[in-house]
Amino acid sequence: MPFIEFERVSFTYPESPRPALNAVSLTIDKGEYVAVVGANGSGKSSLLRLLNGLRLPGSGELRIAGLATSDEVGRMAARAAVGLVFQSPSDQIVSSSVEEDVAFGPENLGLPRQEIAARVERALTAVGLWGERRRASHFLSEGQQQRLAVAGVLALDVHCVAFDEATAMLDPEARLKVLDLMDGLVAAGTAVVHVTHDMSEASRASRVVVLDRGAVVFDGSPDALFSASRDDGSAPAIHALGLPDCVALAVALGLDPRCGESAAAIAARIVARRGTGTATGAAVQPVAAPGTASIDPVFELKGASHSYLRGTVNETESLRAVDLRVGRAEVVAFVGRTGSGKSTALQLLDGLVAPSSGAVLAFGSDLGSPRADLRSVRMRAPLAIQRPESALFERYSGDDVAFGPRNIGLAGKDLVERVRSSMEETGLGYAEFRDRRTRSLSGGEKRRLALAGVLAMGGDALLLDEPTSGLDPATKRSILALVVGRSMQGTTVVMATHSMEEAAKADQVAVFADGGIVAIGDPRTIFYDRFDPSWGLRRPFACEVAIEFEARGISLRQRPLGLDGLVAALAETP
Amino acid sequence: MAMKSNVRKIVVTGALGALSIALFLTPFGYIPWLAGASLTVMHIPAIIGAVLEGPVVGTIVGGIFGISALVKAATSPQGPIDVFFVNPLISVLPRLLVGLAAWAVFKAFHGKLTTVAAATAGVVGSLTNSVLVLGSLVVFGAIPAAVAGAVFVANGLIEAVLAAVLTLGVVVAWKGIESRSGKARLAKEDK
Amino acid sequence: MKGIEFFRNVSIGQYWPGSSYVHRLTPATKYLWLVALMVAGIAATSYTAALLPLAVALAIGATAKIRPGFLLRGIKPLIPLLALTALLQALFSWPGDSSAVLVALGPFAFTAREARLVLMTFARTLSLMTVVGLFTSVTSEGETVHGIEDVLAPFAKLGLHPQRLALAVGIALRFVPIIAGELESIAKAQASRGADFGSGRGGPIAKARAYLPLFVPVTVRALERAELLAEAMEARGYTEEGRTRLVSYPRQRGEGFVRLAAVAACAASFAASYAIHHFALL
Repeated sequence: MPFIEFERVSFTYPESPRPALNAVSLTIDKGEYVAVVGANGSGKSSLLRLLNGLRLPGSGELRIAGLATSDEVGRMAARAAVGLVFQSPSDQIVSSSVEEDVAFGPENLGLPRQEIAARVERALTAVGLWGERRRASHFLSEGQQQRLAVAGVLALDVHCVAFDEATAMLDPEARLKVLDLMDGLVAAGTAVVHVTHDMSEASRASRVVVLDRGAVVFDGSPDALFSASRDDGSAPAIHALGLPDCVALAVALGLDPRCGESAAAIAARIVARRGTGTATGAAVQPVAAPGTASIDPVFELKGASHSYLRGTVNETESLRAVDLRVGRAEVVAFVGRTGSGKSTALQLLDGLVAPSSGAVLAFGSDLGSPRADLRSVRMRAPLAIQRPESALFERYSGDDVAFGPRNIGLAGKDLVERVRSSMEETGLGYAEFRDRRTRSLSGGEKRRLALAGVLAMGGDALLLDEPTSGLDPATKRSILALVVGRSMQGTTVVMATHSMEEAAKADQVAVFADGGIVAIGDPRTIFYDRFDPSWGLRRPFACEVAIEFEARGISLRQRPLGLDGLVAALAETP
Repeated sequence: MAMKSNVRKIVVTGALGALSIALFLTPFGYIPWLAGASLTVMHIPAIIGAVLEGPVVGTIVGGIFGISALVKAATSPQGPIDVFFVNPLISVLPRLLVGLAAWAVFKAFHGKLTTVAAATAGVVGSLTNSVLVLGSLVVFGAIPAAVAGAVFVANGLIEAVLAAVLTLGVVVAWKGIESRSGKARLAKEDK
Repeated sequence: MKGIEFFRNVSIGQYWPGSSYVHRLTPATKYLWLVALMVAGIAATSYTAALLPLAVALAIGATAKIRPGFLLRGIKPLIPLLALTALLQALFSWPGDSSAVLVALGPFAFTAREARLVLMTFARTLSLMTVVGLFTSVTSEGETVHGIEDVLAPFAKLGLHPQRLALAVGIALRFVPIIAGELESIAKAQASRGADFGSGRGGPIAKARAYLPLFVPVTVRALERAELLAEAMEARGYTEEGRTRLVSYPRQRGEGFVRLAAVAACAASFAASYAIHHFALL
């Protein structure tokens, strides 16, 4: 008997006209590792909520360990058997104390104290947080908080843990830890269901289920999925999914794709296929175009330091003597671990925070001087905070975008035109979205709307703090294209990002570590020449592969930063 | 699902209580007004809790705010009047009634004219806060009645207007109430 | 240069960790003493009765190894306040105040009654401040939250739900840093779009509307978080019947007497006031 069995299950949310799930039939066995993918609105989240018994099927039957969830006993069994981990780490934590938060589940079960303590210990140890048990939960990093959420679920001794896009908001290091945790769970016999947008993550599972508008359109191994997505006969929903880098590269080169293949392995295969060939001498280094930074920088940090809670007992230094010059129309990427100072540096640039020492210059004026017009600097170089959709406040979308331009003084036709062009630029049709209520927008749409609001300031510069985090791959690409497009038109862009592929598109990359800039230069210099693993970053996949080639005696004429560049460089190299 | 509404009320109480405390502890809760005195907004989450979730939530959020004001006054007092808030009859009791009063007013509209009801609840809740806090300060001899009256006129009435606008803003946004035209204000400039 | 600063580390009380007998008492007992002394302080009608809680709090603090200076640090801001209050009282007169005038300067008269009012207020405030300060010094956050449940447990039969209340308060405390951080983020985001909270032009309605871009999003976000957390709690099987609790507070020896002593102290304060009034002492 399968552990989880969906039998023609349909489900509709009360406020919604269309069913979220439409006669879905699916089984999951104990210890399976299943990834569930699909576009927004495909029904992935509903599936998980039904699994845990949070919601009940409208029709059809869901059986967990043989018991139907429509029955109260079955529902309790579902809750005891399946645990859910949600997307937002901090919005799952109940208590200020790590220990007590994990105890929440067992407490609900009415277990005796000793049993609860034992379970808390097992769960925290399993996720690697036993050492943090006495800390306040809000002092944990987001990655740690997410692992705490997993511990909270494990303490219920569940047989299956379902993750609802639980890695979306995490930085790469934290994401990897959670993924490793999932591997550990499967190895220990606990089933894992992982809803995700990221195809590399999905390919770690042994089975992928693709949902489209409430129906299952694919159910098989990741390898089979990626062949299907190259098959023109497959459903469009399958084509719409991206491919993991290793698969995309293999496909582009006519090789058999293998999921989860490392850069070294795929480089070895490519080399084997072409034969080692003669090294053609040193690769041609492209001459780095001289930046405009030295002439007339738009932003300048001179020995700028910053600390939180200055003068109190909790004072902590966030930035130490940072020097930086950003030239006009340059795109500068800030990379580094969470907490390394990227956000603070961004906020210094347009005067949103003041340095505790050193100087900040923007548009030629010293922001520390009493005559500095901070308000106009902030409007000329608007900052899009992490998750700018938190700042949406107007009832209707069009009005929210109009807020900024109105403050500049635009009105009437000019205002409408500015709003229209900003919205269209971010992919939100003006006619369709102007009168939509902001709260009714999806997550991705809200993010686009918030960016439109920032773009609508018509500033000479844009400061973006992780503009694509948590978004699906297609939206990520379109926002990046938008940003690059803007810089071609003369806007200076400074953006903090966790995606090395995005950073590779910048003119300059500044690497932050422990509150200081440890390296700064063009992407090739940073990712090839000066790269240091202690930064806690990884190189873009194309760079990793190219470096593996060098180790095997093949030098590419152009050092690539992206997959297209890699494929082209390979074609040119004899 | 009866269980669900209980959990939700508990958590909403906690979240709005936290909002009150955060507004209270950071400068973001104070709007500069006449030289020195600021308008405060930390009582407004209690009003919002009452309007959106009922009297119990509103009362407890008010209580949470009042008690945090009390504790802060006892452990790190700052302003002149701050210190008197160690007396729970001045800091806590009035705030318990803020939510209750706001809810009573909102309920009186019987579910109609939500926008007007919300704004009125804001006004009444805020006035309750001003009158009871100032009143209890007078009763306990902290400030003379004439001063209380002056503060009420200078601050209390304005705060009531502020509360109306903010309560309305949140209720409209949260409940997804359409405007009369169903269109963005921008539509007016878009002929 | 004015920036917008970080407030993620906001906190309310000032817990002073220790292992004295006082620290080890159950939260319920600590709450009982808190209420007893506060009631005594509020209802006091004589200086002695008003200062009794102060003395008792200092004594308890001493056994808990808390320096009196720490508990009394509120005196400094009180003194200028005292002067200000006296001044205000002198400026205005209470109707029916026929007590002796102590100081007169032109039209301003400071009467004995006003003097007594100011001194009583001072004594009472100082007392309450010390009592609350003591409580927060010996009670950790966890104890404060769980204590609500414990101390109100007897009232559950009257329809109160102590568990729910304690949970709500615990959640509030846990959300404070997050919401404070969000206030700051949103303020920055809106400042970038030209928002101008509060300062400058306009009457009350204009000022209120200028504040909407900060207040509405932070409140809506708080409500959204609440819904997410409620869902997560339900997913972890939250139920109200039959819940147990990991953290327990064992009773110390003699705790029963300590609790009785709290009631006695409160009663003594009332008795003192009564005696003083009846026998016309100060």
